[in-house]
Amino acid sequence: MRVRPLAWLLAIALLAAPPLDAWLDGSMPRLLLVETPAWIALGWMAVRGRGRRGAIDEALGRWDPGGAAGLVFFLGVLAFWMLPRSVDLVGASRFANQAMHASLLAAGAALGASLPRLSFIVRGALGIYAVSMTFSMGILYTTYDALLCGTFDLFQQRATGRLLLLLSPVVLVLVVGAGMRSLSRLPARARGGE
Amino acid sequence: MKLRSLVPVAVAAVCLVALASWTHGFRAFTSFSAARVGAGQLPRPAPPLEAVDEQGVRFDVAEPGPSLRLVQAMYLRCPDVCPVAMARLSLIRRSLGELAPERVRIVSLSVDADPPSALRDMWRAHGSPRGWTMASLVGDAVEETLERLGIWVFRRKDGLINHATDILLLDREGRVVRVFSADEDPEAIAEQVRELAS
Repeated sequence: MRVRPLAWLLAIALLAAPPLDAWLDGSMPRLLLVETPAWIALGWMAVRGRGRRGAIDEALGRWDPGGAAGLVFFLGVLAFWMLPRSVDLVGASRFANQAMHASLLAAGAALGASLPRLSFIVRGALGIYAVSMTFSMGILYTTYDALLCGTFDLFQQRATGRLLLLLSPVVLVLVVGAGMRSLSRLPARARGGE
Repeated sequence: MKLRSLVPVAVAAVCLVALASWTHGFRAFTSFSAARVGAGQLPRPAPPLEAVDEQGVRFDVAEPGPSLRLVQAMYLRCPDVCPVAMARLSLIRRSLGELAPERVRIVSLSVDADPPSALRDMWRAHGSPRGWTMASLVGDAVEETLERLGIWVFRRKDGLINHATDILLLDREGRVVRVFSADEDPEAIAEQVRELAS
């Protein structure tokens, strides 16, 4: 998918600007299921949306040829902003809110640069992790009786949980689809054939 | 060893240090638990908790006295968590039986500056229970005081207030000696309080 730089910058400005940003921050499902993936996707597009290898991709590749550092950075940033305490911080501080945008953008770029360099096994493990995390967070948010994120309420927490549970089979289908596509591109010998 | 092979290790180390620092050593993942851990190790002295109860009587919740005190924050306009938390507190009071109020006193501390009349309405709604006081903290620094006690309070943009529902046990010297999670079995909490009261 080719992304025009101007459209990309416009999307960033739109997401960071108060009307849309405040609306996305105003509810737990919107913050976790729309805003967070949107920033990661924009970071991803910065690296992968040019149609061919860009300067960012090549620069990251020089320092991280195996893709491990980018993957660890992506998981670290995501783990940080998924903590209920961090979600509260985003709701309470404008600075933290912008720091979340910037770091998720960087994490998306790191993932975009890393993923093609990772082995099929590591990508598979990452996919399984994504499905299990979506499902287990859905269970947690749906069934836990007390508030986890103090800036929202119990109704929003449960709604987020239900949406995550609905989303988990979709993530599973996407992961399996991506896995099948990767497998079909592997040479026959690597698949165990002649 | 090439320098770039250390990059993933360095990135992992930075991420781990940041996460460990933010979660108080992987012990506090929510704002509620961060306030609980940040208030200090148990037993710890409670900060002065000057309050006015539902009868308009002024007292210090943390002042040394003859009885243990079970303290929980409450928000009178709370639509979801507080009614459940207070119902569980009511079960604990019933389970404590004749220990309340002479040896154990239960205090629900409002996170808002509720007047005694509003506190009295809530107290009556719970059957005017003996040994269970509903009170508002005196002064402007309610949120800071409760955070020093280990209770996180957050004023939302829609005007409602979220807060921790942990139940704190204060001993006769006014020290916080136990922190019970609000979803713990009320009978198990009452049993531990009975042991300390005897």
